[in-house]
Amino acid sequence: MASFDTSQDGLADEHRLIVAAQQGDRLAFAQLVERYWDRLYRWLYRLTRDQHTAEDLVQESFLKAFAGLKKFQAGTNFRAWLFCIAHNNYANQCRASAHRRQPLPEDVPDSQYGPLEEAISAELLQDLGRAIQRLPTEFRAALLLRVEEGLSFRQIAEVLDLTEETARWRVFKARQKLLSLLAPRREQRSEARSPRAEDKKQADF
Amino acid sequence: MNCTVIQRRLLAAERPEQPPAEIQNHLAQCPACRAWQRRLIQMERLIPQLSVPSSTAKELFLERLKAEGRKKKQNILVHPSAFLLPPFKKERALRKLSLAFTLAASLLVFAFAWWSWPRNPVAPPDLSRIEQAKLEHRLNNSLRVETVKERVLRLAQLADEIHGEARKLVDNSERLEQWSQFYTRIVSLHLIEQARQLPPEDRQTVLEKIALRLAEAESEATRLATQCQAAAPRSAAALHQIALASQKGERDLRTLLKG
Repeated sequence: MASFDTSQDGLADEHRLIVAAQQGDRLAFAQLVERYWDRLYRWLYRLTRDQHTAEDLVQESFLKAFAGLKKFQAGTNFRAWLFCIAHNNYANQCRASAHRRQPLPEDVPDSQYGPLEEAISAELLQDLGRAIQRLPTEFRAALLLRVEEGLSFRQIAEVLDLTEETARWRVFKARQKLLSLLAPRREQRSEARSPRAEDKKQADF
Repeated sequence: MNCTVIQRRLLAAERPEQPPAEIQNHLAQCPACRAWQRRLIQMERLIPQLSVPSSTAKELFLERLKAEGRKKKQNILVHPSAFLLPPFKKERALRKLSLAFTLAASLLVFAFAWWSWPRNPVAPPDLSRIEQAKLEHRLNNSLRVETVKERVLRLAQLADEIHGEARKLVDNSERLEQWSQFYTRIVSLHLIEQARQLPPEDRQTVLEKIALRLAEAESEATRLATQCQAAAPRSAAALHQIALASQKGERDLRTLLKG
């Protein structure tokens, strides 16, 4: 999960930026954009599977957020509010046109991760990328908010306009489906690499 | 609790790595469920490592936003300086006159500042530059797509969306003019140019639909222009420009279709 400053200082700083942006300070809003752009882009890219569509949706979301910032209640969860706008944009876009999909690029691990993660094969990540792509969008959206954004079920429900129980159920289904999609591949890989039963048990996927 | 129940509860947990005590008790005694939990946790830890294509859109957006912000700040600094009064002379009469003049001037400046001060700093016109940049960005993205067919389809979709947005801007002639210029550029320049490069076998399937959409756009823009001619002549002119571009675009596509 990308690092994110949720300390008291970080939140106080964010609150200050929001209040300044609400008074029309574009530079303060620019700092909020800096904070959240990559996260929104990442999430929307995983939903749309299209770089340009994701970029457009992020821009659109920030423009709408800026225009509607006065309605935002400072002190409540800005990130959830922003993701909610992005999700509404995405839903509108889906309704407006059947968006074209492009295959995900080769999923490779980012080099910033430690030796353990780097040792995990690119093949495994590719399988995972493909498996996520095969999840129904609503499951994928909920799971990524949980796993990448660290949102609670209550916050996911807020973003996706669901009940907390439905949000929990969607994450449950996404996890269940992902594990089942990855299980056969894991067994094939284990067999190919090591015919010994002992090794099979130790393989993570 | 049996293993199936435990695994289902782990799937439904907000943090499968920190399950409640009763699940932890089971995990302590069950290697199969421990392995299953480890698999789930590892899968979730891998997800954030999946890469996404790099994007330059953020820099462009921030650049525009900051440029707007700097302009805004300069405006704020200019306004107070207008309140600075010139030094007045010693003579009593002139001093009174000067005082009266500065008071009147102050009132005027204050009235002007009150009138020109933005009531709503986030009003859409302030964002038109960003909107323009966004359209340029989308156009560039459309032109960067690999296949000609895809480029043509994307440009047609963009033209469609711009036409749709332009219809909502009849009350804002300035913005409508910008949008109509952009529409004309896309249709007359880029769309036709890309359509010419389309392989003959693709032309019928791709261009026929686009030509129909352009015909619809022309008729819609002409109808709207006629309706608003009296009340908003500038908007009507912009809509006529859209209609003309659509008409010419359709004609060019039909020519290409005939081969």
